[in-house]
Amino acid sequence: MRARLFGFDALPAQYGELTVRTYRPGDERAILETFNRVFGRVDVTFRPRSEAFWRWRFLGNPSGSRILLAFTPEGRVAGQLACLVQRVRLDGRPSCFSQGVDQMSDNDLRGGLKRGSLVGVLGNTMVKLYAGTGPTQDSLGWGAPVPAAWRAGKAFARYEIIRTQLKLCAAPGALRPGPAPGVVLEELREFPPEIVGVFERASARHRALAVRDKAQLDWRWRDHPERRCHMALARRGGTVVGYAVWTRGDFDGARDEALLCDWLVAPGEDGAAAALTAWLVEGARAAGLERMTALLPDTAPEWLEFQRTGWRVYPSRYFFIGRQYVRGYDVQWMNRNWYYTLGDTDLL
Amino acid sequence: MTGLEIRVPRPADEGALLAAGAALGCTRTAAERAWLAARAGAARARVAVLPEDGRVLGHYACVPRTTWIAAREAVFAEVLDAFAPRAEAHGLQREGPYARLGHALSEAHPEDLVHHGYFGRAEWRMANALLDFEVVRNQCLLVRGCVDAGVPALEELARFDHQAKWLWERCSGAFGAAAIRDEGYLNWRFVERPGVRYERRGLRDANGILRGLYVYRSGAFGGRSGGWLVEWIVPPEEPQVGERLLADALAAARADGQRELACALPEWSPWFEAFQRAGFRVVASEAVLAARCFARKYDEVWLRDHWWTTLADTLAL
Repeated sequence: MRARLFGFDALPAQYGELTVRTYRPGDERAILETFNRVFGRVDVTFRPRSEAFWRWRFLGNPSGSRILLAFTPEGRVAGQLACLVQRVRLDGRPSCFSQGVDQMSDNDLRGGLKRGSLVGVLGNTMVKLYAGTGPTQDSLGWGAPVPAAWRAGKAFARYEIIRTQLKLCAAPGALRPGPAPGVVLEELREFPPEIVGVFERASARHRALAVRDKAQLDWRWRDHPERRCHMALARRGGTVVGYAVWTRGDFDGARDEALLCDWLVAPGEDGAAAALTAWLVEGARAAGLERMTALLPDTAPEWLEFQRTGWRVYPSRYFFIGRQYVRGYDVQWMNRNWYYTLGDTDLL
Repeated sequence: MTGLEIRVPRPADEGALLAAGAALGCTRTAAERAWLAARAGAARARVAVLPEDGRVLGHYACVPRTTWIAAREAVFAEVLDAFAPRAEAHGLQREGPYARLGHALSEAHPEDLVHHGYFGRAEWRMANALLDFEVVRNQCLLVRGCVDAGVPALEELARFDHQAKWLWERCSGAFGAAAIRDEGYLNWRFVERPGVRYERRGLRDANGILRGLYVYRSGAFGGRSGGWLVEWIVPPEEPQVGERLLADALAAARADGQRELACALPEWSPWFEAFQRAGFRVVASEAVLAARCFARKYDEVWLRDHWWTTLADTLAL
C-alpha cells in the first residue's frame, strides 16, 4: 500500500533536525560534497562532478532549475531533489515540465529519518511549490530513474510509468536515407535564431514538445562542458526545416557509439530527414563508430520513419516515469503525445 | 457499500452476472465461463453482491498458469473479467467493490506470485491505485504485411502431445520466468477453448520430432485488428526452423484474408531482432502489460527483463 503524501507549503521548514529550503547561491559546494560522496559509493564508474558542470547544468539552463535541499544543523546537505526545467508547448499553450535529477539522500546525515520519507517530502514539496497550470508552472514531473529510485518514487511520490523505453540502433552502413532534393545541409557552431521555426512547425505535430530555441539549444549542445556535440541543420528554399545533433559516447551499457542527441524535423520534410540521416551516417563513419543509437517515443511518427530508414529496435534499461500535475494530462496522455529525444534527458 | 457481500459466485448468480458484465462491456459467454472454471475452478472468482436483492455489482477472476521461475514452479494468474462500476465504487474508493474483490481473491490465494493482465483505461486507474498493479511494459507489437505471403503448408496440429513439453524445454532455458507450455496447458488454451478458432501448425524433422510451432488467430487486441501470431515456440538457436514457421504464419494470415500479421514478444528475446530482420516493424499499441507482484524480488522491473510472454499469456486473444 502506498504511503500518504506529505510536503511543505512554504520554505524554509524544519523536518526533524533537517532544514528544508530552496537553493541559494553558494550552496553548490555543499551539494557537490554530498553528491560526489553518495554516488561514488554506489557506482564504480562514477566520476566526481565538477562545479563547472554543475553550474552549466543548473544555473545555465535558460528554462531554469528547481533545487530543494535538506540541510543538517552543521550546514551539510543530507538530501536533495533537483529538477531541470523544460519550457514546453502543451496543446498550444506554454507550460513547464520538470525533470527530477540528482536525487540523493545521505544515510549518514539523515539523522534517523528514513530515506523514503525524505524522498517523499522533497518530492511532494516540489509539487506544492511549483506545480500548476500557469505558463511558468510545472504540468509534469518526470524522470528516467534507476530501479531503486523508481521504487522510492512510486511509493513516496506517486510516480507512474509513462513508458518502458526501447531504443533505436543501426550500423552506419545499414541506413538507407532517401533523396533530399532542394535541401541544403549546414554544419553549425551555434544555432541561428530562426531554428525556433522548426519547433513551431513540429509542435503542430506533437502536442507536447519542449521548446527548442536558440538559447535552449546553444546551452544544451554548444556549451556542453564535457562533450563535443556535432550540430547540423537542413534548409529548403532558405528556410530551416530540421536539425540534428550527435555526439560520441557510451549509453545503456554499450560503449563508444554515435549517439543521436537531438532530432527535430518539420512535418512533411522528408528530404530534410534524409539529408540529416546521411550527415549522421557520414559523421559516424568518419569517426570510426560502428553503431548509432537514438531514443524516441514509440508513439511518435518518427519512430516508424526511423525504422523505414533502417534503424532497428532494441531493449533499453530505461523507463520514463511521470507524475501528473494538471488535470487532463496524465501519464497515458504523455505516452501518446509527448515527443522527446535523448537530449531531453539528463543521460547525456 | 459496507453491506456489500464479497463471495465465490454461485450457479444462481449466473444470470445476474452475465447481465452486469454485459452492461459494463464484459461479454464472456457461458460456455467460455465453464471452460475457464474447468481450469481455474470457481474458487478463483469473486462477485460483489447486494444482499438485499442479489444484484451483482462487480466481478473479479483470475486464471492461473503454472510458471517456471527461479528453478521452481509458481503460480502467475491472469486477471480477467474484472469489473465494478465506477459510479457505484465512488471513484477510487479503497473500500469500493473493485478493491475489495481484488483483495479478496489475492488473500484467498497466498500461493500466487504474480497477478497480471492487460487493462482498459478506466480499469487501469483502479488496478494501479487500489491494487498496486504496475506497468511491466508498454506492449509494442511486431507487425508485418502479409500480402506477399504464400500458402500455409506446414502440418496442422489437431492436438498437442508430449512433444510440446520437449520443445518448450528446449526454448525456455534462458527465461527467468515463463508459463509452462506443456501438453495439458496448450490443449486447454488452444484446442478446447469454445468459440475461438486457432490455427495450430508445427514443423517436424525427419524423425517426427516437433522442432517448432506457432498458433494463429484473427481478432482485435491493443487497438488493432488483424491476424495474430498468438503463440511462438521455437528454439532461437534454430533460425531456419523459425524462418519456415514464420513464412507459414504469414501465409496463414493471408489465407485468412488479413493484410498484416502481428505479435508480441519480449524485446530481449533473440526472436525480437530476428522478426525485424524478417521485415516486421515495432509499433506502439494501446496495450499495457501490468502486474501485481507479491514477492519483492520479482517486481515489475524484474519481470520486464526476465519474463517470457506471448499473446498466449492473455485470453484477450
